Amino acid sequence: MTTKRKHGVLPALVMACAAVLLAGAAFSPAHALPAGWEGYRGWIAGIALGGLVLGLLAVVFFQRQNGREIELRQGDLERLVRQRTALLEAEVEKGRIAQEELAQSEADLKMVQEVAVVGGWNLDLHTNELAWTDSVYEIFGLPRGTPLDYGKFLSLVHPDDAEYVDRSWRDALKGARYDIEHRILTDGAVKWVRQKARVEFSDNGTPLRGSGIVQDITGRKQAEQEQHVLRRQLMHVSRVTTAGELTAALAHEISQPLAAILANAQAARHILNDEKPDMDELHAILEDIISDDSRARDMIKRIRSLLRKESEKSGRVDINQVIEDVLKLVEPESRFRGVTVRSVLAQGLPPAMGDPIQMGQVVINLLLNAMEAFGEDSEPPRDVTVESRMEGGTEIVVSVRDTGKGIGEQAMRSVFDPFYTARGNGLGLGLPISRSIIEAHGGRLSAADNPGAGATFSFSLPVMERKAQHE
Amino acid sequence: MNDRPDAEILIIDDDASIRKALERLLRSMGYRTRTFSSAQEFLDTDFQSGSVVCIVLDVKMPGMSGTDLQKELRKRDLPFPIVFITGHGTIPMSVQAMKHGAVDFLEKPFDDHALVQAISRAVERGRQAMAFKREISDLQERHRLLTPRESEVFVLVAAGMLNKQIAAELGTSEKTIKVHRGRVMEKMQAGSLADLVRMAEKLNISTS
Repeated sequence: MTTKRKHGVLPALVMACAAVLLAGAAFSPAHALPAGWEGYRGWIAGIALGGLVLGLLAVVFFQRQNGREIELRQGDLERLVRQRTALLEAEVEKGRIAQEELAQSEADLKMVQEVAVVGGWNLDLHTNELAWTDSVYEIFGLPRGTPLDYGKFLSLVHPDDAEYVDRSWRDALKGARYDIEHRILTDGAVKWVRQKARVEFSDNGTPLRGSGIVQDITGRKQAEQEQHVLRRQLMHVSRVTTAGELTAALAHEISQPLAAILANAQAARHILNDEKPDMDELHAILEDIISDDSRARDMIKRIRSLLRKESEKSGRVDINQVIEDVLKLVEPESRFRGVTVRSVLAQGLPPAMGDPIQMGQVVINLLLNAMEAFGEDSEPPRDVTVESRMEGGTEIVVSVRDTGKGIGEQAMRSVFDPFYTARGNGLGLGLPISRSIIEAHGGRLSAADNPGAGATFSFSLPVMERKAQHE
Repeated sequence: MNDRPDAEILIIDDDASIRKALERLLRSMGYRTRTFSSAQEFLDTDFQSGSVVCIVLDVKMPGMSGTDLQKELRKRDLPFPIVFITGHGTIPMSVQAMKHGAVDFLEKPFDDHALVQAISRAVERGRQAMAFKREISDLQERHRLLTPRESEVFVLVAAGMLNKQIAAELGTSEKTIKVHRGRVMEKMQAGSLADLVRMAEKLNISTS
């Protein structure tokens, strides 16, 4: 459009200027014209006038053309402006909406922070200045605006957790993940918080800034603790129930040494009535009484371990030892039921991590369960085999196999359900509790029918990591 | 107390210390004893039939239990008196054992007096059983001496029939029956008619 305008007006102006020059020459004194041209003065004047008129006409024409074009362009511009304005308005509207949304989401965030008791923080690693959001002040029970730094924060952490928190933060400064749960002290009250943070590093790898969120998880922790207590109580109840189930056989087992002690003592009394008491026999009797007494005591100790309310602390567990202890405890019961229990224990198993009492409880439950697989009048042989072995170098597998009537497809689905029981006297808690114990130890408990007769229950336990073993 | 010297007490229990202690106790009271660690070991042993024995038997043992052994002995017609001893007696268990002829059912631990009483009763009952068994075998011996005709007469006499009725029944004369009857009384060593009827009862002989 620009080129068109130039080509239009300029020639017209040049033409007009040339016409003016020509007219000037035509109407000027005679010497103004080159020699020989005076005679054509009239023609020249005519041409000049015509040129002038044509040029002016051309100028006017092009001016008019230009004017129309300007008008056209003006329209374009106006349209453009209108479009832009509309766009701008839309943008402004969008911005307004965004702002509103932002405000809303800020309000939401604030609400979320209040409801979830979450707060954020920033730690400038140059100045050691720590900035908290209001929620964090609230969580820590400090007045807003209290000046803070890392040391001040650490002083609010529960003394038992301070070392762990500090170590975790130092690891985070070296690039480790920082996602921890710890206790804090607020006005003497203990709260649980979860912290998650990110550290920003400079190009050369120096940490610049840490930012994170804090969440008050006291409620969740309390619920967890209550659940833990309930779980322990339930496990204890289950152990007591198991002890109850074993009572008849255990009573029998304890009455054996007691009967022997009594008979020995009475024999001794008769011997003492003799004219010449056999002293060697009396000695032998006393020896036997002592050994029978220790036999009774061992039995009582085993029952007591089953009835003990508090479990031992978790630690390194020799699973074969657990199985052997349980076999001694269950032996009277198996004899009572006419079941032969065999054990095939792999030698040199690495220790597992856990609570020996709870693991023993699982093994007892599985053994009793296996013995129950034989009906009252099932034909011998009634065999139960307990086996321990290593699998894949990372876990210990213990399986209890019976030659009983099996579980069956139908019952298999509900065999681990609480209160499901295939036996008249069972509570239906042995297997679900066993499963929860094994899962709490990081393992699995499963059941399957054997290809031949009976069923096999197996559980796996991760072996202790090498690292942990060296600690 | 004069039952002690000739009575042998057999102790069957899988628990070694019980066996040893009971053996000591009974010996200290003057009994002769023998011990067995299982029912099977006991069954595998030969006994002189006729010697009075009493068995002190544990109820719960691996393999054949005490009650199983009791059934087995009845099946073999060995009427040894049994005193059961158990670590955990249940009422149904003791009822069952007593029904099958156990003399007593003692729960461990038990007093020596209780044991002696039970054993004394058992020995007495064993003696009676032995005497009864001997008497029956004596009667059977005598019964075998009767001719078929005499046996028929024996049955009918024991049923309470008169000579005349028996003669009609067997199609012979009353006089002949009288002779048969005299021989039956003589061979069976019966002192009276009542005696003969009791013998028939013991031999389980009847008309039907």
